[in-house]
Amino acid sequence: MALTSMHFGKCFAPVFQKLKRKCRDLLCLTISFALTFLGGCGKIERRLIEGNLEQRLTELQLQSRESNSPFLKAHMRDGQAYVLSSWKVDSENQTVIGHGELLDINREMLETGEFTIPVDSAVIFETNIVESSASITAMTIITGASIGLTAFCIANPKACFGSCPTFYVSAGDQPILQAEGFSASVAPILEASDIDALYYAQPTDNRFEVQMKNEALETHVVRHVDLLAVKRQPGGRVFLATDGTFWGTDTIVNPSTAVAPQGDCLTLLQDIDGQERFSEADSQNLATREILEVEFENVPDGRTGLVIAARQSLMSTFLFYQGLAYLGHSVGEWTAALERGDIPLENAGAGVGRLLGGIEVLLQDDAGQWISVGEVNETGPLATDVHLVKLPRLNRKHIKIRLRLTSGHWRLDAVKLVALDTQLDPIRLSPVEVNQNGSHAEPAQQLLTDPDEALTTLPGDNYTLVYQLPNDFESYELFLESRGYYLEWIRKEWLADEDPALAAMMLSNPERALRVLAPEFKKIEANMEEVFWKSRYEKPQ
Amino acid sequence: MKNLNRYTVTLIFILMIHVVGCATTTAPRGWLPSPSVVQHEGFGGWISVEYTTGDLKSKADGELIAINSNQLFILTTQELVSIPTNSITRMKLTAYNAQSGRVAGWTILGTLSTLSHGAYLILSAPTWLIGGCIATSVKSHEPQVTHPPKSLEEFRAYARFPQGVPEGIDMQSLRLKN
Repeated sequence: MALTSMHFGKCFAPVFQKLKRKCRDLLCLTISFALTFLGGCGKIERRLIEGNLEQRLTELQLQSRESNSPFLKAHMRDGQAYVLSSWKVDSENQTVIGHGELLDINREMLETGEFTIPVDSAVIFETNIVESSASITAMTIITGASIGLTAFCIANPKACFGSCPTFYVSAGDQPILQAEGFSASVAPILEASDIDALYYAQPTDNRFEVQMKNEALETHVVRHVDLLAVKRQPGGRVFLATDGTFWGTDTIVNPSTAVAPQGDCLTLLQDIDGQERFSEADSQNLATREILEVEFENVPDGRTGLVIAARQSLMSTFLFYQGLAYLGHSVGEWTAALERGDIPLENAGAGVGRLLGGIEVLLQDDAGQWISVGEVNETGPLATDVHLVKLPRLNRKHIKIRLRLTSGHWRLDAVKLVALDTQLDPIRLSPVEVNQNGSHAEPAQQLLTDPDEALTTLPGDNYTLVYQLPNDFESYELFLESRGYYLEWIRKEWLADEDPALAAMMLSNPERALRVLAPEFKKIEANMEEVFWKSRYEKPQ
Repeated sequence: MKNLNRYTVTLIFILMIHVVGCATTTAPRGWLPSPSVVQHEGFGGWISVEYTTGDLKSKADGELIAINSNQLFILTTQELVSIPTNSITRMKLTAYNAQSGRVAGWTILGTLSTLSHGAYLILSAPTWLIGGCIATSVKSHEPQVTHPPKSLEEFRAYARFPQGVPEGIDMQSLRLKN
């Protein structure tokens, strides 16, 4: 099959390269056409200059200064007409001087050359003013925008918004992106559940709404989206540990120092506020690690945990899209082979993910040795995930923690130490109502609440899921559990990169792939985030 | 398929708007000058006049020669026609060829070029089509003057003789532009 894919790729890659070139050629033709047309496409406004001698002279002087009125016609009493180019007014002698032609009543040329025409000898003077055309201005704007979009798509075919269902929840005044579901589930066999903390959620009554959107060129298959409500102590918070347990706390300690290789980053890591600490990827090897050192004073007694709020950078998105691009037309075959079990899951790109890794937490023990105590690793570049790594029991008031992570792969929002007071159990809530475009979507609700069914969404789809919270809704910390998988759409632009050999390298030799792709990623790294967020897909109204 | 039908219908609808919305003229093919030529040639614009003669409705098409206080002169492909201004019900003059076909061509090329936009074509292609069709329609109307609402006086600037019929000329010797 690999041989077939390789032959297929080799045969058709030039065709798609050619198609891409044709699109560019077409745009160039459009630009050339536009530029040619712009040269002589103004709107013509004809004006007559008449009245007494003084009025004519004044108007002619005004018009002669206008660069958009290149010709002057002088209509004579006998029907003949002078047509002058490069004309000027001699006010002193009350004449118009210029080079041109004298035409008879049938507009045959009688004479050509320099003419001096007394202003009072003509009955009427005529100018034709070239004005800009509103329609041409509009077309120029559309062309400019189109060129920009083409340039953007050619330059950044793998920077476009993607990565699973997005969930928007009110944070008081307006819905904000608070979760993304099952980002790593890129094939049916990888279907998985994902629990995200709705850290900013502020329900105002027991009717709680979650907007679920498909904002990417993807097909989402959503098995369920349930709320997990966990009762908390007044003034306390609840965190989800990496082992899936929920812990309540009323003691949260901010770091006293935080130092990255680039310098102090304490301010950025103190609050879960969207102010993120991130670094650039290594230009030689995308798997290069870095270490941040964080210290805490006043460590609480008893069990503690480290809260890490973070999201991935777009490095994983780039690598995923690049892998799909290399697979090109054989993505379908590859996915089918994965479903059949012909390709072991550990070979399905997992090597790249393993090398990039998560955020590893290391704790300095009493002997000064650094021991690994856990890792946070949730796929997804969209919403900040809040995770808890449980720490071994500490009998110190001051601790040092190291975070080991791949350079340029993570955007850290906050790191906090919390006392683990009580393990808590959540209440599971399924949606009691599902709406789409303002109307009740009963079939969608049935699909999301029947464990044997799934709701399939397409780009631009937007559902509002309604949940019934307990009456004392303010006492609950909310988490969103989504389950499903999604299928990335192969963009036409990606097919130009189809290369079975490089696809094989990403799957079988990820170490080398991360070195080979480092320069490519560095080219777009600086503005990939901005481009990504601008490329969210919304269905045309 | 449902989506395809929706887009096909939208496309046909837009094209219909385009066809209905574009200005027309009865000028012989190639007769109207381009915007750059009209600035320095001496002919009048092409006019279509609807007027009444008694109970009869008549129509004349030709080059606008002159407008006097009570008469309008048109040089048709056959003869010079004089029409009393008080019998005119409608007039439409086209001063030059707006070359709106080029804008239409520009629109088609631009729409096709959205193939380079990938999935954004869903937005950019309709933008090109709708924007281009509106621009084509607007462009085609730019060189036209119609009565009503414009007054007859506003047509005078587009006559071969805006000063009125010149003194002493043999009107029958006037010839249409080749």
